[in-house]
Amino acid sequence: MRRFRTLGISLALVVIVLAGFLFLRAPKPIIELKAETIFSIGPFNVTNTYITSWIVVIFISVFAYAATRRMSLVPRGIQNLFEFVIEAIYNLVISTAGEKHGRRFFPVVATILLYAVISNWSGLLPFFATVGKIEEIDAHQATLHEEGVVISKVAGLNVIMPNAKDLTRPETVTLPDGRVEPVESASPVEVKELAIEEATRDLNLKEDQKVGVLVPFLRSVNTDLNGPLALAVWSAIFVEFWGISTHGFFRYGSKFFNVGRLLRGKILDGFIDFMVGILELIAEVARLISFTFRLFGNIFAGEMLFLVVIFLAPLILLDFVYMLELFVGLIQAFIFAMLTLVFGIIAVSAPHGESEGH
Amino acid sequence: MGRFSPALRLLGIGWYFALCIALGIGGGVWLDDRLGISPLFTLLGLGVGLVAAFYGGFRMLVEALTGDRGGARGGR
Repeated sequence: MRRFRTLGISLALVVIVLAGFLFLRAPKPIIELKAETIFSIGPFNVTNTYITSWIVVIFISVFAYAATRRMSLVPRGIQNLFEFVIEAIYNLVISTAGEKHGRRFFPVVATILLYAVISNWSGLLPFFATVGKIEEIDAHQATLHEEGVVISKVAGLNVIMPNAKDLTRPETVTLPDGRVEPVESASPVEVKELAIEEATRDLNLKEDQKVGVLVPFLRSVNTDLNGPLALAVWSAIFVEFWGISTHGFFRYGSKFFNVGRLLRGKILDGFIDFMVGILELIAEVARLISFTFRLFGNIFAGEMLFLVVIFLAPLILLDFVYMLELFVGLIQAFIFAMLTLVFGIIAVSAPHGESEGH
Repeated sequence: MGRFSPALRLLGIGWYFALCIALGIGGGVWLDDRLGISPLFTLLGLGVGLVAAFYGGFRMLVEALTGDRGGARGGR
């Protein structure tokens, strides 16, 4: 009996996945690596990821304020939740770095962790990457998109409906006089108009439909390389600050420019020390890059996985992607914060000796 | 380096996720090509890959957060 039930459930799941594949698929994903500009203030372009990052900052601030407004000795409700989170991070930091340094590291590590987690999870909210303005495929635009999708207006919002058609711009068009012209952003308007006409001929657009690229108002912060880079730069600044404030500028600097033995006349040993110092310096910069690309790569890949799965099988499998992305968001934020902590510990430990093993 | 292990053990988890999903889909596409019943196995492969990635990630996270309980068994 139980076997039949399991078999029935499995079959039903496969049928639902297939039904989603047949009837509810989204159009082919258009992948935009760069964050899209929503509006500009003078020369400063305000991108959708930038807007999201401020929303995250405001959310955390308001949450912290609400949690600590009416503090009671026996925490309840939102204060309890906040204390639980902060205490968990605090204990982790103290147990790893010890009481003395841990208290210095904690604010930075906790900020990075909370900010990164909330940023990563915010990308899973329903209005992210789905509601936005349309960048139409228009012959008069400066840049001519290569791909577009039919976007409908529903309740005042631009929405990509299931099974919406997509189009690919032709690479060349034949002009009325028989000439074959390539289609690029720099092509004359007539050529671009012909190309768009050719591409949209079979789409049968309704009145409230447009062909274009959806530019979302909100996009997950870490899908823009600048987001993780900014975090990584601050993480590196704090690590160096901890190192310098513990050992002093010259003692900490001698880790990278180790000329002590060279000045004392030991040419060979001194030279090796110097080269090791240079390697340490390169490792320091490489760490910045690996920090940035790890977070960016994981979160961006997650976002792509969403697009691909919505394109392939929008039912059931998408739920697994959501669960997976909840993990990825937490784990990557955790790794980022913990690595900051680890490098902080290495920076405050003695410049010569222990750190050589790494 | 023992006390840093939770973070370091999770470093490669991105690769694990990517490999699980890529192998699942790749295997599915290959089977579909051979048997000619696209897209059934592609979708099933994607599903299996996702479940494996999710389950493995969950296990690794729990192990990392609750200490070295599972780690000693693995030997690395």
